[in-house]
Amino acid sequence: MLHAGNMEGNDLTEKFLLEAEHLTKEFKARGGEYFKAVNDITFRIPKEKPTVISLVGESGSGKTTTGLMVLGLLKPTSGTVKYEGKDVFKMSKREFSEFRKNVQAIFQDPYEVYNPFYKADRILKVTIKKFKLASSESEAKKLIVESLKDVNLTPEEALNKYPHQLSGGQRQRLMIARALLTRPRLIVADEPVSMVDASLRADILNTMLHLKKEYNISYLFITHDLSIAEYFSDRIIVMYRGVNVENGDINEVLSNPLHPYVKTLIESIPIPDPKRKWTEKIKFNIEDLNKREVSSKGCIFYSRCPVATKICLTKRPELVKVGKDHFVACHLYSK
Amino acid sequence: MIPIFFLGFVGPYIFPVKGIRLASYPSDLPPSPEHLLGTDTSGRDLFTVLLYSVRQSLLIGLIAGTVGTVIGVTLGFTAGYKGGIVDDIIRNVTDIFLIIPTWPLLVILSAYLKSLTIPALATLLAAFSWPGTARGMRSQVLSLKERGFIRLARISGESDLEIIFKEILPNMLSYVGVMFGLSMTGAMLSEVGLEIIGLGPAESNTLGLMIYWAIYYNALVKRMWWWIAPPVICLVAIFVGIQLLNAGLDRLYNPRLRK
Amino acid sequence: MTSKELLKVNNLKVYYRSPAGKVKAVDGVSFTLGENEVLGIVGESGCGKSTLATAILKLIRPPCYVEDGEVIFNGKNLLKLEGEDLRRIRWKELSYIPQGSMNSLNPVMKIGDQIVDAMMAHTEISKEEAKEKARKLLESVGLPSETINMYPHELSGGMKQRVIIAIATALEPKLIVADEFTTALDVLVQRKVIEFLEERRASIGASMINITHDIAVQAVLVHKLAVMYAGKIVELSDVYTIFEEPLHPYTKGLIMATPVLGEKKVIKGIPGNPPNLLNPPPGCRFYPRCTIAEDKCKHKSPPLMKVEEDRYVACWKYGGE
Repeated sequence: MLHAGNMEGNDLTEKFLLEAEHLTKEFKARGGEYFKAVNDITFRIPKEKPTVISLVGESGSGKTTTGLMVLGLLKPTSGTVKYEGKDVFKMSKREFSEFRKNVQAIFQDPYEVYNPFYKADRILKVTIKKFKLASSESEAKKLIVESLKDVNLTPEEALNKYPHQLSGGQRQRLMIARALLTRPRLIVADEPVSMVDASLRADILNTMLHLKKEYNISYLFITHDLSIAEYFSDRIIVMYRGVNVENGDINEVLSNPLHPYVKTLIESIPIPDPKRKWTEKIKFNIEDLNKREVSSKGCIFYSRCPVATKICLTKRPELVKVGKDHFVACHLYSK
Repeated sequence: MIPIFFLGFVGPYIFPVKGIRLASYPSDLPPSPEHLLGTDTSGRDLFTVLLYSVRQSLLIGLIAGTVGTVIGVTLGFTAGYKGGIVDDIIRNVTDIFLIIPTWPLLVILSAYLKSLTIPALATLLAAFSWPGTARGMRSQVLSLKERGFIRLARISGESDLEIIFKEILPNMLSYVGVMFGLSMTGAMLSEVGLEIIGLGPAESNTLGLMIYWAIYYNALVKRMWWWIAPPVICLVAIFVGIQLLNAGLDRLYNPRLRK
Repeated sequence: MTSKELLKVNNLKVYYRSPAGKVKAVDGVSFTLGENEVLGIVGESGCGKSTLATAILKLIRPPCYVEDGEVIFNGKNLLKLEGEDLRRIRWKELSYIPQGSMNSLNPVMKIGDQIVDAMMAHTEISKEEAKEKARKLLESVGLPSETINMYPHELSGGMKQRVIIAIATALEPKLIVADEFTTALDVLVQRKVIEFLEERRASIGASMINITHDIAVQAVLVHKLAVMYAGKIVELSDVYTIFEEPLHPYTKGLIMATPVLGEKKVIKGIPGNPPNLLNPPPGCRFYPRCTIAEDKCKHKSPPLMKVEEDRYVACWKYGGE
């Protein structure tokens, strides 16, 4: 039961780099009611092999909130985030510093993440200083130049410039360079390429993959784009309104999607090939009113599900194993 | 902008004090090379009076502005950054002060306290200007708090205090500047207002007082434009100067405009 | 497939005046659009597609101005129309769904009132008729009748976008120009909205210019596709042909850079950056990033040339002097 919805967690002795267990985050909505942005999310990132786990979901799925909790930036309402077995929110100052060093982040909006008051490369210098990565200024400079090389940026184009003087792609690469400085073991990437032009996207993703191999970095890759997730990840966790509806090995899940939401999602993605146009109208109840009707008892997807039944209204489905590394939370597959 | 400050501060030190004394000179003289702005009914050299008045008025503005802004910024900042109960408390206090009608209260207080000294007036004015600043500061901080670069700063290891001073504050400098300018001009204007209705301090010369005396002695009727025009022009010049100063500083604060 | 020509854009040049000089946002764009035809204009940020849209609709404001060219709509040059003539065409024959339009709904007016107002402003129609029409319109985009009395903030993004579609097609225009109309929407909602828009468009027989950077959306929606780069159209052809056999290296690059779900293809980006449109280089604008460039490309900019019937490319590789 402990491992429902996780990887082959049969092996309890395998130590994990990062464990998110039953993470839940509640927020107070405008009307005064509480709603669960993140609802009982559990996943583990292994220590041995660099792995990419994608958190896939649309807006409102809670994926970014989950990412923030994993980074220790947001305290969960319940559940734990453990780095190498230790609860991140209960760490000592030194342990937390170790954690920060090893778990870095890349964020989405490549403009917003730079303080417009300072030059863009300042944030690299701050990182070096705060984590004591260099003992002198020349050493720091060397470190920066090396990092820039790793992301295909030249010092001339990236250093000594204000954020608005750099292009979107350059800013994003600079962010990756910053994340690399501490040689982290895990990078949480929240929609790293959503706001980047298509022709630059591929290169940034390829750079990230290259870094994974070169420096043994795992990624928690947060995105709404299934195609990119497929390209980039090893495992996938699909979230809908805070709930993990399906997860598993990327190939297993995408070649045989089971959850109605995931199936609908896959069918709704436009394919860049006119020969594969949609031939018939999609069947699902497009959300009609902007109500946060999260029925606390039933399945989260009930109101839009094309195949919902009575039990879906009253009982929340649990994650069950349906393949070698494939788990689904849907009554269609419950025992 | 600079000329005004220059005039106000340096002026009185250059020119002699003696012109202030009553009846030092023949009264009601129009401007002449000897008395650049003529003299008033009490026989004072108006140019000297103006210099002193400008200085005093500026002083009031600066004191009130600084005190008010410092309080406002501190409170607003704390409220915005800490949130929670601290925020609620500060916000309620601020709201209470905001609701109090400033002007009537000032009038009442001035009338009641027979002798209102300049420092007292300045403090009073400061007490009324900080809520606006606090409110503004708070909303600025709130909006900046959620910006991406704050998250990135935390990830990079900056402590809360460092984030406040190194990340948030620089982005708010132009706002602080504007608030300060507003506080200062607001204070000066209130002072003028009080003086005009005769309730302001009369111990030293301020621009407001000048205007008051001018009206009292019917300067307009007597066509003594040289008495009433200069203080008004100075006030306007100061206000405009402050705004321009802020605009100029905005270029400094915002690197985007610097290019 | 010959259909009556509805819109003809001839050598349109739209520039911006800036302190540093003229920014050539749209630099000589020509294309035609027939009736009941959907043209997609695809390109990345800065290529000029949005400027092109606003220029066609005569919505540009200084410092943006039309340097040259004409836009012939139903025989009339739109760029020369003024005042009353222009107003008559707007909404009734030409309509626009701008970027971020779902946020342009008046927040303090009920949805129904907004539609009715728009209709009454552009046609001679009574309030009752307008109300009835509004109801039918909302129905046609799948919105429940309660929507009429709701305020924009009560609606989800997808619903707001459908209201926009309803308003834009209320007077059954002949041409709809849509700029990134599904960009802010979730995938599921996007599909529904695209379906509704296409259904509505087809039912009134309107033509459409669909502008977006997303080539996948273009693939499912349009008949003809124009690829725009650095202010110029570099390839223009029917959508099947373009995807099956892209000619221009940029088009090829774009397609290669887009991952396809289910296909294990490697995606590659296009190295480099688009040129500065302030002083574009004399040769082909794609030259610095092109893998098959030759010396000629550096010095001379290729015009959009006809390769086959209804197939155009701006690339020296395919002929031309």
